[in-house]
Amino acid sequence: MSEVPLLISIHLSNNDQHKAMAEKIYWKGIEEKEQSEGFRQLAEKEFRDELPVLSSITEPISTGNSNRRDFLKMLGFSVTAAAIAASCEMPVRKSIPYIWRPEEIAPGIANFYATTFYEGGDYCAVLVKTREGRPIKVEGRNLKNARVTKGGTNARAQASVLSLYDGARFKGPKRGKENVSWDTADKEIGDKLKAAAAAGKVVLFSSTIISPSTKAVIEEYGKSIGESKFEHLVYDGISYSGILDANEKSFGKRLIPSYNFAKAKVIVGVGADFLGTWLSPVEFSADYAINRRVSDDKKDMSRHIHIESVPTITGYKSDTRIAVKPSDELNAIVDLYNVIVAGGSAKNDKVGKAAKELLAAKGESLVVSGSNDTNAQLLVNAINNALGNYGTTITWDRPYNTKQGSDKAITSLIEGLNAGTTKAVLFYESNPVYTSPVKGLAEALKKADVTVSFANRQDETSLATTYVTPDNHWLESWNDAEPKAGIFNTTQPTITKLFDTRPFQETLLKWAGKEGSYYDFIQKYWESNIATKAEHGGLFWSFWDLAVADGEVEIPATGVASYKAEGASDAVSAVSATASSLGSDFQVKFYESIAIGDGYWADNPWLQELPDPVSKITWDNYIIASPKWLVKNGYNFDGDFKEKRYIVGKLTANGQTVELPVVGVPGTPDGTFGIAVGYGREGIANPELRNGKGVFQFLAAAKDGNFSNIAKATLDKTDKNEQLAITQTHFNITMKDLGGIKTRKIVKETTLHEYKKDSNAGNEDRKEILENMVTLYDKHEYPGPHWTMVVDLNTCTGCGACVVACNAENNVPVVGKDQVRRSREMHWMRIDRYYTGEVDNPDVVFQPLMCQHCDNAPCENVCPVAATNHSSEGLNQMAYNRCIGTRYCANNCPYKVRRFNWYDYQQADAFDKKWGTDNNRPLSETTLEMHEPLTRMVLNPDVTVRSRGVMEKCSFCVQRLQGGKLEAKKANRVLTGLKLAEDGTVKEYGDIHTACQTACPTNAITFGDRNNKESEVTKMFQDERAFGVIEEIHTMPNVLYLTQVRNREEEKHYEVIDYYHPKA
Amino acid sequence: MILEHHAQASKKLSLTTLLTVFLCLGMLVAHAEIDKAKWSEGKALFKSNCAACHNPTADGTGPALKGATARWDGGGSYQGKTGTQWLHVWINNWHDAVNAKYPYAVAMRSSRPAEMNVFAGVLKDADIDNILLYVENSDAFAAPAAAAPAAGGGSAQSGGNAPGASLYIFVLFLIVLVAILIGVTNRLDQIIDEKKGIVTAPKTRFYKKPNFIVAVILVLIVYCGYATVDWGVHLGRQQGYQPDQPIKFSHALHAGTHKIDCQYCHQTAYKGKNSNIPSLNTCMNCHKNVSKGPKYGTEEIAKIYAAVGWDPATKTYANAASAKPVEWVRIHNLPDHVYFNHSQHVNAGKVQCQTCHGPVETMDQVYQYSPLSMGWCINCHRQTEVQFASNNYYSTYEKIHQDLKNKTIDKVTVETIGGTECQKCHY
Repeated sequence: MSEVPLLISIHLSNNDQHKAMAEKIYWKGIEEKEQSEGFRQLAEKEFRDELPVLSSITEPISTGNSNRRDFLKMLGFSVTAAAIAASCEMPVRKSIPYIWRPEEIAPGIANFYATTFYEGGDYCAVLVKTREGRPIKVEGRNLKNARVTKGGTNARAQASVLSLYDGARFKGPKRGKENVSWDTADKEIGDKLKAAAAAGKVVLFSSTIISPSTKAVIEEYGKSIGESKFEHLVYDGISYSGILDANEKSFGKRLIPSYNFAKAKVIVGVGADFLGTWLSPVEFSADYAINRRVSDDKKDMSRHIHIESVPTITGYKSDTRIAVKPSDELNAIVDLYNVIVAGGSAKNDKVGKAAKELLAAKGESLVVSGSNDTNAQLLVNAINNALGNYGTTITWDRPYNTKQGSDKAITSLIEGLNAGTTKAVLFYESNPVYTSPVKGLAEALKKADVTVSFANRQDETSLATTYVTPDNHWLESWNDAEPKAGIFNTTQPTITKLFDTRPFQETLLKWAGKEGSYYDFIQKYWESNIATKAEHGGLFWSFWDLAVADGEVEIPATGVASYKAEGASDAVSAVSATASSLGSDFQVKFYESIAIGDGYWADNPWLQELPDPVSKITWDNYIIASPKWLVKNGYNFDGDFKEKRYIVGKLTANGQTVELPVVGVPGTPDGTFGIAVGYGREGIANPELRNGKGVFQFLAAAKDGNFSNIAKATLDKTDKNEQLAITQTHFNITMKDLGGIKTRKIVKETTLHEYKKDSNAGNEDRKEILENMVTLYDKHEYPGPHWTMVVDLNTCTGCGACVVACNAENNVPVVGKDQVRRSREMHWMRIDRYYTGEVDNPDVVFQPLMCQHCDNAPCENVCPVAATNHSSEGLNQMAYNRCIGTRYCANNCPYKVRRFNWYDYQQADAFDKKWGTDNNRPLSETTLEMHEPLTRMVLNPDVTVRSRGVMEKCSFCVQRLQGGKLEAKKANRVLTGLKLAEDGTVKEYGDIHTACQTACPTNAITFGDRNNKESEVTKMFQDERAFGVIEEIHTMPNVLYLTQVRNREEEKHYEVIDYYHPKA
Repeated sequence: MILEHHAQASKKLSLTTLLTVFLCLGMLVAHAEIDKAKWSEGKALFKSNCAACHNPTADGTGPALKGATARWDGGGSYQGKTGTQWLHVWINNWHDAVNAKYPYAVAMRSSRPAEMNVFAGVLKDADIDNILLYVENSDAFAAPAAAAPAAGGGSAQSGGNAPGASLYIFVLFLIVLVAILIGVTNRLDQIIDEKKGIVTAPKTRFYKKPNFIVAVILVLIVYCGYATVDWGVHLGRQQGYQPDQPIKFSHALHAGTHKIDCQYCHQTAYKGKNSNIPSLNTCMNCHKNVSKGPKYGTEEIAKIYAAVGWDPATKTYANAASAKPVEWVRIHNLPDHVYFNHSQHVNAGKVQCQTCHGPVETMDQVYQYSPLSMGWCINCHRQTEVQFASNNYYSTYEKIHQDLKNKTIDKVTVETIGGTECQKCHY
């Protein structure tokens, strides 16, 4: 197992080969495609790990771990424990009511507050659910009041509620390591800032601020110390400087216009992960999905061509993915420019073809690029202009405010400090000591007279500053936000501040010598600046109350800009030069991961444990490489399967080196490496959250002064290896027979061409399956509702928002890296990612898989204690308190969606947390954090916290079903269901929605009552695209999926597996 | 009763001394003017509309009302209305009286900042007269002693198992008697035998016989086994749990005597999962005025005042800074893996509070009436009918409606619609 893995090619017989020709073969990882030794060995086993009990039986007593003495010890212990437990009286429980009960709070009833999430550069219009004054869940706001994010959320917004209860948050102001009072801090810092302003400059260093009131506060502060003495530098870890600078040249505005993916018929993305991380992914996902939905009434969809190097979900979702090296992303833009603007020809045929398709859809097309190269973005502007997209798919009426940073800010800060002109630095929502590609900031900070961080959790920058004056968490704050010009949002606190923190704005106002709360300041600002422009009844108070209740107001759009072709022609040669300077060998691209961002979210365990949608790796960063290259160069592709040990490579680029395990990701072209930024955050208090390595120092300033995230690189193999918690082949359901992949009906797809001819395309076999269903069992009766779910594979982007939403809603524990590696992650829903086709550039299907609530559930028949059984509403119920942990059900589940609590992950038992440890394998620190009373405040009180030794699984959010039914009963009416508009967006919400459904930015998940003829799910169940996963085994699942349709010319895609062999 | 007494007294008028005649005559005259029906109506209206803020004889949120008629009359006529008529205007809508600038009304308004409710449309003129009749003569017909039901509630509980105990003692007495008699007859037989000269082998005592010992051991094993299982099943159950509470709050007084609706205080039982323990501001709705209880005087109510920070002397929340919530002992506890929702039962199911909580209105000190065991829950779900016909929610249960029509089932219990399934309570 430990030597270099051998590729096993599977020799299919002629007959099998013929079959393979007829049907697509899907695989979740290369180890499965290649049927590696480790993969096969594990597949043979009933349970992944040996049962610990077996060793004590099979080993001789003299050598075994357990013997008669242990038995007697255990016996004695259990008898004593039982005796003690029995003699103890029931504990006295207290009920402590309010002195004055606030009118809106009733114990046991959740309150929802409209507020605005803007953290780490991500904006989302949200509703926060609070119980007894504790925020426990973030939901998307309804469509009407979420003009930008359209009611969707992303994984980060969903997870942000956990950060509120982070035990590592600052409990009050600090001078160095010493705690001080606010009075002391105010006085000392105030004096020092005055002195600093007298001797030089005071710099406020922040990430992009989208709050107009905060900007006004900063202005006030600047005035108070003299405008010439104050400078506000804006720097974003994930840089958009290139596109901003380009727009300044092309339009005279350093802003980013609105992109309307819903209007685009042909979309070409060049290295822009607009469904995952780029600019405004929640909004883009929602808009993109509108044109991706197909139905019998609308057999048309947009065409999406994606040109990228390091694979992203956007590329994986596209109709045609063109895999290129990082430098060729630039060349592709030049090619597009040459064809579309200059009327020339393209070097690359595929790109040339894409350009022709764009030209055929003038005014209804869209080209976006994620490059941070100003010249490349100038070319993209020229392309979009030539295509007539400005005014249609790209509009300047409401440009984004969410990205305003400049890469020059960081150099300017360091230069100012080193020159001695900058005497004081204040850091707000910014962690440049970690995110700065330029070294030496921490040392330069020592030269300042006073440095202050407003961070509310420990980070690298707060460790380097002399003072920390912690800001409130966003859930504890009043604020406002203007994500797009003229769309104003309010942020209201949903809990009293937990620690002795103070809003940044209030602190700044105080230092400016102004008394009064920030809340009053916002109101005054709104009264004089926003209410005057908005339409309302005339009274500010009613306008303000409504704005806070809704969370959003809109004022008429005013933005206009006209295109100037300035610098575009020079840009062609500049971009070509940049591309050729990267050479033709190996290049690396540093990308933003969906979960961690620029590192802001690295201290959030929910996000750390969210499998990356592309690589399915948790808790780490790594070097992405082409699987073919990997094997050729002696790296292992399956991580020695069970142990998941990956060979560490030493990557050198821009004079920097980093050692990280190397992982093969299908779709990565030869000669391309990728590393996610945001990991290796040494400033985080909990060492487990510092996993991976930081790579911001690799980014080098290009000629335009902006940091380039691509570089020439070399990779050297080391003799080290490292374990990665990769989940791609966990809970695998793709194969049945050992020794060969046998096709099962798991995912189905077709092309638009085929679909237009026949709605049944790709799903032809279902008819036969349904016809041949016979059963020995009685049919269940569902007199009331029959709960069902439909997932549209065409619009699921695999982003992972639903997974985190499920964690939050259902108290799903964090188990830690080591447990994940052992295939013990507890996520109730996983997003399976199936590859098909060539390793170099496969087709990908994302499939969220949760309990399928089968009508004929195999798990129910094997439970010896009937802990899992069927309800009259179609639920496959799981009674935790009845479960004795035999795990037969999990073993018999064909979908592998059941999760076993190997430890007491969330302290469900009253016993001490050390009970979660055995065999010298302690629970991770992060999991133990979840035992702390503070962190446990995030738990949903309507859902049982499961204890050790019980099985659990998706319940279809039964607490929400029960709650929704009860509301209907109380109102003496029938249940109302979700209503969808014609374009598939939500028209009206009903009584019941599952957590995954509401989290989804693309409405890919629909839930409802199948017994209601009018419900949306009933209609979808009759859709000819609907199919159940492996329904040929007659489980009769209550979750159906809609076939994925790809819009491309190729006819049905027959292919033989492309086996390749390492070439000597 | 007192009225009858006076009636009798008036019959005996001729037999009493002159002094008594005068005294009694005085009382009779005073009471003869009061129409009891009107007085009672006034009292009821006062309790339901005014008592939250007013007391006839003591200052509360509003002033003491006895003598109000005289005071307003003292304000004199104005704009063609007498003082009493202006009082009516004030009660209907005090703004009108102030806006009309009736001097006494203006003075009232400026001396008391608290705003009175508007009763126009709620109280008719006759109602106001009845209320005024009551407040002026609130002590005219004293109520009978109110302690009876409360005392009854207390004793019902302690006397509950008395008959059982005496029966056991009687049976035990009989068994001992039989044993003694058997012993005596045996001994007599023996003596007779001895006298007759029959020598019998010494008898083995019955309790030394193997059969008896085996039987006893078997009985013991069965009994102990049963007891252990029974004890195990009841582990963690607290039926009858009756802890002492920090304030000796009597449900018998509030819910029993005063007939305050359960949900006046526990209002979230109707709305949501939990039935709330009332916050102290709910207590203060009444206890701003009621500072003395029938049993413990001011002692227990003073605890509320201390907790909420109320200063009874100034009638303000002067001590709010030192307010500290009351830590009640929770009586009804369910395990963490059980989800129970009050509104499901109280609101949707129209179940009476007493069905589970027992006769709380008779409890001076609340105890857990029901076992709160799963068997108890399930039994009720099997027997209780849901609001199937009256609640529109169930209109989609077409098959069951059909079954009812076809008379294949005669009632729809909670179980019929799946109310005994695991995930109705465990999730």
